Amino acid sequence: MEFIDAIGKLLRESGFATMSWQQLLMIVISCFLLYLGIVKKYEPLLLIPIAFGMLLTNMPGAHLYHPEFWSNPAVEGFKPDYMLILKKGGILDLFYIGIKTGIFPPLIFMGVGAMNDFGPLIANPKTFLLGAAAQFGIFFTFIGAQLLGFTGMEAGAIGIIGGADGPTAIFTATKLAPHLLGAIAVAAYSYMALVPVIQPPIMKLLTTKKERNVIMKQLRPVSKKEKIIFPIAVTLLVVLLIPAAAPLVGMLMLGNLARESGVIDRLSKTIQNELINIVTILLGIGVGATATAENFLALDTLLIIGLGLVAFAIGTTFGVLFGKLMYWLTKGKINPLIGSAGVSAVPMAARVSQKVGQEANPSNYLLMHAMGPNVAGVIGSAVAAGILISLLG
Amino acid sequence: MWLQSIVGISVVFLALISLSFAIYVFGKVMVTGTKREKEKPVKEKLENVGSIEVNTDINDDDELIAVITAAVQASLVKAGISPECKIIVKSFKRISDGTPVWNSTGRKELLS
Repeated sequence: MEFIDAIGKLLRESGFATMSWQQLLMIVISCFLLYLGIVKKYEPLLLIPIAFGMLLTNMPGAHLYHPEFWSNPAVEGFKPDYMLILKKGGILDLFYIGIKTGIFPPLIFMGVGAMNDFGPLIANPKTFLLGAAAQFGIFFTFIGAQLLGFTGMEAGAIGIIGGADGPTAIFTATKLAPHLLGAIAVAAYSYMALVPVIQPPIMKLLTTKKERNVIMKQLRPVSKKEKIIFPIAVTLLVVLLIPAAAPLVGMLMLGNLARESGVIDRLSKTIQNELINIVTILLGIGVGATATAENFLALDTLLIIGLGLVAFAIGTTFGVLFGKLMYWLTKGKINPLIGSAGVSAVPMAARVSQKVGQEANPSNYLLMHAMGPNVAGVIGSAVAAGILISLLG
Repeated sequence: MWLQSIVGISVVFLALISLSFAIYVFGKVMVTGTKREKEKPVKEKLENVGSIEVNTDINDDDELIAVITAAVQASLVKAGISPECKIIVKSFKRISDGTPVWNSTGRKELLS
């Protein structure tokens, strides 16, 4: 009899018996996200760790992540007790420390800085404006989200999806609305993956065939000295203007300086390979961990996914419209298609500009021209994040 | 809410416009700087050509004079002046080596 009792106890305590329907639904959702990552190749580098983090966090009885350690709506001004988390937390709680304390997103930014050449932006600094125009999406959505009933801080975190920059969205969400982090990260990365689907119709709708045909003048060569001074100058200017943007912009520019200085190749290679890869794994799993059933299965998640799409579409629209304005002002020297690359999503958005441009005129190569607004968009969304954090946080 | 958005987007524009302006000015300075640098060596060459005949220094070294004459002649031809244009190197002056000791030592180490 004792044997049967023991088996019964084991079964009663197993996940099969204790699983709630919400957890089951979350497991199905995470498997769907894994499918999108593996089969459809939607940002697999991030979506797979995120989806697997979601899967693990919703395993009943595994206690890998404890939402109650991180937030408690009943207690005003709740601050996580890191000693408790280190002692009692699960592995996902430990990974999440790196996100909550704001370590991982700036490290990813360092890698982004080390991987990207800012040359096209230096050669054509006018394209900074396109990177700024595409940030309209963030602020429109910020207003829209508040009209739909989100608080100011939540709305700020949702709006930043329009920047189409994963690390920035995660950084901002952990500062302003950590309980929405899972939904915001999933929305941000899904839309980044969907750039080639969402952007082209908007771009084609807003431009004429003649505008899309514009072949832009070749960019001037940029000297090494300029490339070295650029990250230092941007850091000084942006951080002095918006100190809250310092973690993201500072690390982005440090990564770029490591690349351009040419004397620390070993560090530069580590930053753009091993470091960013390791951090991506931990960041992905940690973000996925926050998507527990009680956090994720809410009407808010659907609203966030909807608002994220709106943010993204408005960002693209304003980028292209500003591109058109520059087309008129320069009397047809600028192809408005590069405006859509102002939403960060490096280098996917620039590739979309190239592709749409080539559809109109097969001999047109817009890629390098679009990289200017593209990297300006990264700086722009980091600046926007800094502004939202200092205005609302 | 509206105010925050307006402030937000204005500051984004302000930041990126000032960056754009700073980089533009900097680029202009750099481009004219490199142009000047490019112009410099040409001038120096011309000055050298002129100074060869002007300088007077008693240092008889036929072989070296022959080499210098050939080099100047070659550069004149390259510059499009007819090879029939005759020149005579009357004298030359040795100038001190501008290379720092560290660099020349480094070069020697690489060569040996």
